Amino acid sequence: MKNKILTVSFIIMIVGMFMLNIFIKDRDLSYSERRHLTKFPSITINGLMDGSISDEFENYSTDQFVFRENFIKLKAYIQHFILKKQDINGLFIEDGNIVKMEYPFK
Amino acid sequence: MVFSSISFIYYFLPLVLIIYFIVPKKFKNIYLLTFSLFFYFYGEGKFLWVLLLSCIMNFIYGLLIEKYRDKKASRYILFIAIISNIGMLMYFKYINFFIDNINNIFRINIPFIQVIMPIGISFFTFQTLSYVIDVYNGKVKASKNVIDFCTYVTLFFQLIAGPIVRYVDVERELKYRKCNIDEFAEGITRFIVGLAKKVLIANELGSLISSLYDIPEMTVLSYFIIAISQTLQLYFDFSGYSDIAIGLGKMFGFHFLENFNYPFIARSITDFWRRWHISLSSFFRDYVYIPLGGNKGSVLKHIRNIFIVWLLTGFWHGAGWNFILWGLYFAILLTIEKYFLKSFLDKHKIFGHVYTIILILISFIIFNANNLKEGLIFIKSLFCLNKLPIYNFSTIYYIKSYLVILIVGIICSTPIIKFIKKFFKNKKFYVLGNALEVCFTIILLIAVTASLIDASFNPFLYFRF
Repeated sequence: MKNKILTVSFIIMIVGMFMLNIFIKDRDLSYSERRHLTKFPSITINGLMDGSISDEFENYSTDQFVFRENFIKLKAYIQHFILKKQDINGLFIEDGNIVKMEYPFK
Repeated sequence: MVFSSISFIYYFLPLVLIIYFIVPKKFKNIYLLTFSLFFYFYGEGKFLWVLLLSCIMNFIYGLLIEKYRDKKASRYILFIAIISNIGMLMYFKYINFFIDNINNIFRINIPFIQVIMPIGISFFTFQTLSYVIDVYNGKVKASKNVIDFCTYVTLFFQLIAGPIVRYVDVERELKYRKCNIDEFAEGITRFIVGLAKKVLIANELGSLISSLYDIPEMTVLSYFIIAISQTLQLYFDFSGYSDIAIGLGKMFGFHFLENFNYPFIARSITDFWRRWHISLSSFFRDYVYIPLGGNKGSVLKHIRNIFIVWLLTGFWHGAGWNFILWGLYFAILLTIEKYFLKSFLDKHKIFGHVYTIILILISFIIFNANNLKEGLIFIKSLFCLNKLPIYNFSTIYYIKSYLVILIVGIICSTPIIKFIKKFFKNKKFYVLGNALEVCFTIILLIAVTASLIDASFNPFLYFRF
């Protein structure tokens, strides 16, 4: 019973995400990060051979993942409340404001 | 492609799984082979030919050795096989190391050769080597099916970061393997635990280490935390990869041997090496140490054998003097343990644990140092010999920031979780235990996914292997 539940939830999770990722339209911009998101790489022989397509696809797969914003929030939540990290990607909270850490001084 | 990536978990894996269970039995191996080659091609496009050459070459060696069994010719073929496999490894991995050293010794200027090491070459070369030697020794029959053999060498679960799987152990499963839901679920759990080890613990420790190194003023405490973190990082990264390989194997019906067995609870260095990267140490035991005579013969011969094996083990980890020194360090410790310390360590267990942990921490300082000088500075600083401040504000800041991860890491490197699981196997809590296990596994997968989507730090540590 346990094994069936686990198997089914795992399959639903990876296959479901796979389907959603394929069928949901890619976005251009991320407002929260203030940047353009990576587009699906155009496939060329050169790109295949020198591995640049692989790199682009890695970026594409994380940039265009469904519920991306929610996952990023979840990670910040885990880091802040469970792992008790002092800062998250160089940002920390001070007196209710988010402050960027300028350290180490370069 | 690395396992700990969105592209693997949410693109490659669902595709492989869906099609694998649709494809008729007859074509399952050729299908796995195709996908494994694609997996390799995706990351290492240019070097696919090296992998293919190695497969074909060793397949032919196997057939030839079988054909000329018990004749002199089979010896020659074995010899050629060993030379060509090692030669390939030497060329891709060590050639510039040798050139550099020859240049330094003879004060000449041989130009370096432009060569990039194909990922995983150290692993698949050792797999094919073990195959040819086993065929020669009659431990296993030569494979008659080129597809099956190539599938064995290239299986994407163990292709790039081990464990070193021997043909003997999977021979039957290449022909005939069963998948049932219980094993599939076990594989899933193992796969997710491996991912969590790599992504949630090893990567975090890695970023702690680089943050500590970035502090302009190093302190004794920061060196101390780095020493602990890098040892834990290596363990979680590497054993995480092995868990992923073993887990994926189970999902597809393969059973690989365990590669790690809680190495940090070892009571001696000898014990540690029975628990750390088992597939590698048993490779050197079976194919180098025992053929050399092992511990039979005179004391001198035994010590010679230990030193040969450990120099090679060290050198296998990378083309650098620090790796050779690392091997030598273990050769010395193991010799001392065998001849002097053994009975003492057996009696004083607590001392044994402390002694082992300290020596292991020092060994990984040597392992991770870029050169000998750097390693020496590290060790001196650790023992307060470099007049560094004990701690400062920044060190404390980062320790606070990563304290939970460090504690979780230390707990998870011991069998505590295994005991907790055993406790829940008790009839009273059976249902609760199972429910918790399923929930926890899925939560881990979600946490891994979140972590990978916002990943800033996800190194592949084995590019040197």
